[in-house]
Amino acid sequence: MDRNKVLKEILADEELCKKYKIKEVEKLTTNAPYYNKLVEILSVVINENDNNLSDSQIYKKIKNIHNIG
Amino acid sequence: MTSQEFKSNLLIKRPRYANSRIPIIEILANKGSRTSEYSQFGPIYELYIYAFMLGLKNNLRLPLPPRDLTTDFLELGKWKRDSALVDFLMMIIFTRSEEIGFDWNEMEDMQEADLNIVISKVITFIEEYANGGLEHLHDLLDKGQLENSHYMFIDLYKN
Amino acid sequence: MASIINSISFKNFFNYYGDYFETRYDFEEGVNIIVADNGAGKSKFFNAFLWLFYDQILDSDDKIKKGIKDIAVKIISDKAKNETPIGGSIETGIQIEYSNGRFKYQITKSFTATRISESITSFDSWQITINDIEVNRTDHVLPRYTPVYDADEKLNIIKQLIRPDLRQYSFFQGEEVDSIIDFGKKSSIEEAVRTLTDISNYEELVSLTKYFKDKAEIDLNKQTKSNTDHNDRLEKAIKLKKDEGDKLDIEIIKLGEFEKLYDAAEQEKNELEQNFSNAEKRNELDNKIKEKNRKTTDAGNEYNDFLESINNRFFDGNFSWISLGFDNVIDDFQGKIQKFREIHYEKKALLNINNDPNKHFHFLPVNSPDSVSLKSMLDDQHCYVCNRPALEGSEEYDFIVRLKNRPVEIKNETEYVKNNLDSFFSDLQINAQPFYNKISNITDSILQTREKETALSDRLTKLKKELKSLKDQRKDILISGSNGEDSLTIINRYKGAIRRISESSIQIERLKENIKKYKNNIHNTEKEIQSLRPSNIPEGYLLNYDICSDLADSTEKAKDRVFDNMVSLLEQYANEHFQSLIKYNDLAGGILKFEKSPSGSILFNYMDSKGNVVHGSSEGFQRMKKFSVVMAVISANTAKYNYPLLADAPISAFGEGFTEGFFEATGNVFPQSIVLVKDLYKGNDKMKINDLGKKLLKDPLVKTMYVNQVTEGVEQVDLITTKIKLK
Repeated sequence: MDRNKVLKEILADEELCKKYKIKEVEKLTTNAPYYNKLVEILSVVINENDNNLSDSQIYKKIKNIHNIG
Repeated sequence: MTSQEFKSNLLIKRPRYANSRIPIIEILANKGSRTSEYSQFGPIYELYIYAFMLGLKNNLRLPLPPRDLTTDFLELGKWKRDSALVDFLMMIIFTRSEEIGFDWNEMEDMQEADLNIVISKVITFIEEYANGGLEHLHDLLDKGQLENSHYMFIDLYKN
Repeated sequence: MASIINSISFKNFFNYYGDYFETRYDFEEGVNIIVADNGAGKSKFFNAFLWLFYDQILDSDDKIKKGIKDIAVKIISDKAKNETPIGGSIETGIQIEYSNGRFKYQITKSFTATRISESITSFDSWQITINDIEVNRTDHVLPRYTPVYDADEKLNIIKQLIRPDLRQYSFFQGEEVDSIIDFGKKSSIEEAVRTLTDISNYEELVSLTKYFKDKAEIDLNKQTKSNTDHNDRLEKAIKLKKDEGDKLDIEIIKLGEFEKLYDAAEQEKNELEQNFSNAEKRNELDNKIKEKNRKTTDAGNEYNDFLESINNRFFDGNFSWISLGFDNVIDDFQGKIQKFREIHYEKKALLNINNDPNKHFHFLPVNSPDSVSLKSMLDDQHCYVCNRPALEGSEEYDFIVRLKNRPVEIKNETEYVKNNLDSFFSDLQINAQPFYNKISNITDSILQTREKETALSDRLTKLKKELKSLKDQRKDILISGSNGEDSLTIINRYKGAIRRISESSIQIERLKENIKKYKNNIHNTEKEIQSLRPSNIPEGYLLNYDICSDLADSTEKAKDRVFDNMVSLLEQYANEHFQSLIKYNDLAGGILKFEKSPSGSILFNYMDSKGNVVHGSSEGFQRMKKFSVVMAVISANTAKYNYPLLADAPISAFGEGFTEGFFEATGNVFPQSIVLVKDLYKGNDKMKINDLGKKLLKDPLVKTMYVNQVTEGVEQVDLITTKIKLK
């Protein structure tokens, strides 16, 4: 699976980009450094799903990004 | 004896065939609807007449074996009743009276016993030519020269 | 690197009798055509590939695919079977050579059959051993093959000839096209899209993000609950949102069910539409076949009866064949009877001189005087005619006695011979006439009999041929589902399907409205919840929920986009191909449009230039639509498709206008195509092909052309297929 391709495809959403002020989607990748939190979370979801992490494990990571329990 | 009586005495006779001819008869006649690889006649007398005529054409006269090695079948009078067939056969046969051994006019003066002898000679004449014909057919069968077609009989007959 | 099939050879395989080198077809890149009538090896070609890829053969009797070992005896050439003695063995197999740029491979699959008893068609008479698959390889530099030993590598080499997930688009029989792209089945387009895209990844992510959204909401609500500013209104709103969510889920499930119903009804309708025209055609043919069958049976009976009656002509007085050759009998008999009569009547004449009872009575009529009077004269011993005594013993008395006895003696006519055989002989001559007055005609009669027989036989053969042709046509009309349905049943089912479509359509609308309503409520309630939330909830939870919801939505949208984009791409390619397929046809000028039905399946409609849907029910038209989609799937897969096409093309069903387009289009999509057609065959042509075939032969696109023939007029056991290479 081409992770970057999937990322860009999901971010090909005008409203989403507007809300989260994302510009120049073509330059984005699923690797750090991340443009913003949304991009980071999405990248983590795509990467870790590809790495076969379980759903709950990925969710934990997301929570960590938000610094919540 | 009148003409009628003479004819009746003649037609009541049952010719015989050699038992050794039974195989070929079974193959070439389907009385009782046997089926066979080869063309067939219906009743046995048809095959018999055919063999007799074939024998005459090809000059094949062959005496029968002793009586207990022979079997009789249908009486002459019942061969294709209501038809002129037997009359025609008789025409042919009586034309050959010299070969058979009697004279037409002499017959008119014979005693009954002698007339019966003439009748026997006629029957023997039929039997022996038929026998010859049947043997010829059997021979062809053994040599594999019997044609496997519906025209088999007529083709054999034509030469 | 494209795989190109170099050759296919058969050994004792169905009608292909002989060793591999004897029945070998060589192919090149580009278009290769094999012209084969039904029964002349058409489906056998397919079976070779079915064996190669799947170890199966399609049984032509029941159209079911069976394992090699199960049907082995049917596969072996009848002629070869017949030639094998009990205890002997034969080998049956297929051999395929293909290259892929780097290497050239030779694959042989075969089995050995040993005959163990009498009946050659019985499965029990043969012992079957499947031989090891042989695979040989050469690298184009060395002329020799070297064997491949590793079992896995062998299987891989076979697989690579046509990639498994694309095989169904690259290798099919004419009728199968209908099921590969089944317009009524949502799943067949979905399957194609799945093959062509990574949509399964998106589906995973959709469910994943939804899961996160739910979890984020739960976490957020937990935080909300544990906060002191929590209030009743908020509690109610959260509960309301959950209730609405549950109702929404139920409606979504119901929607799914109705969509399935719609789908099924639509599928049935499409099937029936296809079948309806087939059903009418089939009915028409069935009637024709029944009538032709009756005529054929009658002709057969008439012929047989005639044959049986031939021998009757020997003894039938109307034909009298038995008399043939006995011409001389007539004259001989005539001669003899004349001589006989001369002597016979001489005798009579002699006696008459001595003893003619009528000598003196010539003048007296027979009963004059009457017998009573004569008796009285005798009793009285007196003659009453001349009135004179006639004493017993006198000459007068004896004379009267002779008079009285005259009638009786006339009857006897006094024996001048002991046995009067005159009437015996003359009756023979009179009665036997039917048998000797036609002898000169017998030869003609025989000739006429032969002629009549030939005429009857020819008529029977002609009727049989016509019957077979009708039956072949009937076989080509495929109806999926039970063949026993008549037109009325189909019409009723069709009406039923249409009704179900409209009913479920209404339900689907209603449910979609409800779903919209619930979603709206949920959205509004969510807004309410947000405004009611205590302001001191840690931002992380709010943000988490926000981001997870948004991601869930966007991922869903992305998935749909990917699907729709691929469908559009397929539509685009399909149109391109369709245009080139119908290029030479009157129908050109419209476009193929993909439409989503309420249930989500894809409808392919051909709209003419005015925007009307064209409902061409001609088979050719339907097939072309499907071929276009098949080729679209192939083109969408890669810029260049690298596998051969092996297909049978019922080009008469296409119609002449489609055929040229068909070959041109396939030539552009597939690096190599091997196409089997029967419609180009013309038995009484020197080259055995018709005008269209000759046209194609000249076309530079077409690289090879073979014509298959089956030996005519032989017994089943001698039936073999021979080929002529025209190019």
